[in-house]
Amino acid sequence: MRRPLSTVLLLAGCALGYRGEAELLGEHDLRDTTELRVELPDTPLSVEACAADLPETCPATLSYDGVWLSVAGSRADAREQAAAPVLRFERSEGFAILRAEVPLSVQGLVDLEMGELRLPDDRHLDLRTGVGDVSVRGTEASVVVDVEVGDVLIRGADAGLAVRTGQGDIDVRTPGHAELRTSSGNVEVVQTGDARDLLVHTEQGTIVVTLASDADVDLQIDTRGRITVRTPAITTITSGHFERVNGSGSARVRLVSPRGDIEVRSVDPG
Amino acid sequence: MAGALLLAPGADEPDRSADASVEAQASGRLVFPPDYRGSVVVEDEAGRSVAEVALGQRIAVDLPPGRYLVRDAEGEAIETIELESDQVRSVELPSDWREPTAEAPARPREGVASSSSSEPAVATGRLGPAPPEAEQEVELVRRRRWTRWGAPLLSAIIPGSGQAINGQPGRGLAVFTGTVGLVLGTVAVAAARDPAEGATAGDPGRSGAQEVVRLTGLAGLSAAVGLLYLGQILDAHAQAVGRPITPMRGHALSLEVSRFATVGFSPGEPAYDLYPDWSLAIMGQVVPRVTVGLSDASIKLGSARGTVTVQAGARAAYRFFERRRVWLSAGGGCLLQGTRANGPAPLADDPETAAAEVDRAFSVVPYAHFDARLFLLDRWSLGLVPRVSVPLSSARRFGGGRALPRYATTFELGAVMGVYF
Repeated sequence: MRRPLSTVLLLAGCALGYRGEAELLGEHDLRDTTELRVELPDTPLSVEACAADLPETCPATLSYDGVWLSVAGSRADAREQAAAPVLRFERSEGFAILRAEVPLSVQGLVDLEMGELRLPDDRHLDLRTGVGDVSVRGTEASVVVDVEVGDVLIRGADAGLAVRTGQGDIDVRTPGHAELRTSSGNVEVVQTGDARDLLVHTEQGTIVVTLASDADVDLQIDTRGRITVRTPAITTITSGHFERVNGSGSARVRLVSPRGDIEVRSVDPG
Repeated sequence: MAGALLLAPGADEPDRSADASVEAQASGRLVFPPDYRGSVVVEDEAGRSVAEVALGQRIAVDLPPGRYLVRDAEGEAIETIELESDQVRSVELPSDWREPTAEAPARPREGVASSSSSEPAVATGRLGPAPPEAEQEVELVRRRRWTRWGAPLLSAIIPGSGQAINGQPGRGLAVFTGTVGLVLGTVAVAAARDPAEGATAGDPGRSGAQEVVRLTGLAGLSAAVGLLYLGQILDAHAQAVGRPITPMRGHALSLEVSRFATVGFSPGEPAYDLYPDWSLAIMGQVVPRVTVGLSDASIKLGSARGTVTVQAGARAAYRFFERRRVWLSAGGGCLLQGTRANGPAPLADDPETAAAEVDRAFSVVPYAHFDARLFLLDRWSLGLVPRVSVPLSSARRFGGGRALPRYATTFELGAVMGVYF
């Protein structure tokens, strides 16, 4: 039985070779840098921010680790190819960028798996990758995330947050303004500070929002699914379109999910 | 055009009582019109001669349902005929079989026994009894000229419909259900891919064996869909024309479209990937059975840095087997790839920075292959081509930024369509 099966698989096609890997470590100076963009090929990205006002425990640097994985036709090639790509850090005035430089000779033959990125919490962050989950914890500055496929988890981003993921869930706890978009995925947002603007759009998925306050809110919800609002000042269960303005409506909340349920709660259950 | 024919027993009909081997089980009828001359032999699917017919008068041969081949006296195939139960089919022979007229004398056929109208028509075989008078008006199935292009066109739009138009609804239904089944299977296997695989750090993803089986299934199913789809279009034309297929052994050139595929390992997760390679080849037959030519021509676009790969090669093959509609050949070739990629973009906020130089790579991929072809028309064939290759000097590029490393021995399976001139 094995022989016919292996023959069929052989005829159907296969390629034979070896795998290799090379570790990477990096540390770059972030003094005079206010904004950092991390633009990497498919890889999970995990950012842990430390308190910038404690320089003895939180140096003004970006540090990270990770590993380059490779495939090759020989063991020696596998080792050599894993070591070929590099992460390049460039600076221009207050802006810095970390990106991968993959020589053409190993394009398609290497894959990056980043470990944790560590930096002070007052640097604005712009994270971009292809396929990879993104997680940011502790950042007080603004955060922008753009990912093709992957879940996004944000804790912090006090100065504002923008997230776009082609496919993946979004889980956010932030005191800042937030604009969150996913083509397919569920979104959960908790406003942890004062009432702020919030825009959430998912093409396919549910939205669960916990508002900091409903006292001064301009709320608009659109979905063909179910709308459930339970806050001290608003209680409704409906579908289609719902809008309500409380107070002067200074905190604008727009929630759109054409094919999912939307639920709105409040930190203060009333 | 379909029409009606009254089969009147009379002078045109052979004397059925004269043949002692008449069997009542015959249920279909082949009718040879009186305006042909010469003699032919009718063979069944097993190659047995079931009737020898001296033309010159209208001859009706009653036979069980099945596929029959009409040959001339030298054994050359003239016509293939599908005969169904209770069906009367008029046999149409090429124009040079027609009896000469004063205006257009027929070309005499070598080796064909002449038959004058004064000679008695002879039909031997299994002749059924004469049908009752009330059943003598039956539908005459004639090949309609428009179906020669209409049937394949319909099959291209709805698989199997051309076969149905040709009077083979069962075959058409089988083609349709087979094509739909394969398409659904291909879509289901393709959709089983997890687009988020590799997104989560430390997630081992699905097992390697599972992914290899899925990708192998995807490669096989997609190739089968393509071959069945193209094959049924060619078959619709072949059935509409209704004559035996004689592969063009003496062709000078052939044009081939091929899709090779292999399941290879990839770095990280997912750990395996499908590597498809579409290409064109123009092959010349320099001496009988030996072909050489330009092969593997294609352009591949990468996913990053504007990567473009131009591919072409040379191939030679020897055809060691050719019987009826099947050709087998073996050979080898070399595929060359030149790849160009832009250098890294300058820092976004600093457009003054000069862009890095363009990156280039060159790869040589020698291979050996086996080629099995089935002719569905005289000039058109479909085939399966397993081959083994080894990239040398640098990685072999595929579309979408995929690559197989140098020295990675690669077994591929190709699905090929060829047209011969």
